[in-house]
Amino acid sequence: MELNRLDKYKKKFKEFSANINSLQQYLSGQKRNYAGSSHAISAHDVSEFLNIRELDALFLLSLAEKERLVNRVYKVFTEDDTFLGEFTDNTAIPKKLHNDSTGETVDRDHVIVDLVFELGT
Amino acid sequence: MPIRYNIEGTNKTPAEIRHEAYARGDELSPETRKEYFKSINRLFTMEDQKSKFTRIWAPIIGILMLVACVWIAFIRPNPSQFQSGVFWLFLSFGMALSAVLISGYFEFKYENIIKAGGGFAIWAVMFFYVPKIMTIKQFEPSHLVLDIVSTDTAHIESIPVEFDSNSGEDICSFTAKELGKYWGKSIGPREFVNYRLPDGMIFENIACSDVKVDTVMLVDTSMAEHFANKRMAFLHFLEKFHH
Repeated sequence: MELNRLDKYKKKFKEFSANINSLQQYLSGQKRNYAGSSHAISAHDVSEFLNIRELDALFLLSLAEKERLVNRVYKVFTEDDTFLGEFTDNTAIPKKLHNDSTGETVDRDHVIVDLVFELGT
Repeated sequence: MPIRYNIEGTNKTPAEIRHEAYARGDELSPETRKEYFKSINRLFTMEDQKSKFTRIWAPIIGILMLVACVWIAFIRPNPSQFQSGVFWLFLSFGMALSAVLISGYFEFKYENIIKAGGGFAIWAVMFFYVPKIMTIKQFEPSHLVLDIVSTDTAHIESIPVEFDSNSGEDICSFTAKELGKYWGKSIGPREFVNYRLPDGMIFENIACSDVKVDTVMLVDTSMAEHFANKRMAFLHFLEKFHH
């Protein structure tokens, strides 16, 4: 994983220069701890580690995604936290999802989506 | 109700997230703000973000390729095995490009080696799973034998000729032309009666592409007229030379 691909953004987005530095350290640590296995990073974890807002963490992770350091995954849950499926693109989430535990169909309007980022290889 | 995302422990709609992003953007420099909005939008918008090529040109090109395949199937009804392979590849690309029009997500896995999604998955399925109809050995005559009954009816002269099984040319004109080449003289298409072997059907106004046999028997028309009818002439010569 070539974390130095993020270096160019330090000059481009000066407000986030220090945060990008920290993100590189965070991703490097995650990569070391979860080498060889797929591990998902949430914007919440990044925001806590970097002590920034979750939206800012999402912005930084989207830069990392642009550089193919992480991949977006939309994890879909019911309102009572039952996992329904995961998608690499939110436009691919179908209008009706099947809940395997109840056998019922859940309308897309009644799901909660967790956006996480999987470490690229 | 739109999809809600779990952000900062609360479930927010994309509009709410965008609203927060705009508020945060006011604190950023103009260049960063622009990229910030763009990134947040990209993550949460449900609108189709496919490029103009993917949305418009890919299905148009795909449909044109499918139409071309149908057209080629009519003008080349007897493709060789190689041509069939090329058509299949062409067809699979056409299907993949047209897949943009089909909603939903399609994923394909092949023996834990290839994993594909969307249009590429359609192409991969077509490429790796060729239907049985494509592998059936088809009759592909590239040569035709002309069995010509000699004018003294004593023997048959067999002439092998190159044959284009996709040609739309009338078979009688074709055989007359080929005979003309061998005998060095001009022969009209009505000078010989063309019989299909082995059943003796008379070829009249039949295109080469519809000749599904490899041998045609030719009997001089004036000779055939000595019999009660053309069918009798065929049966006579069939018994004499092919039994």
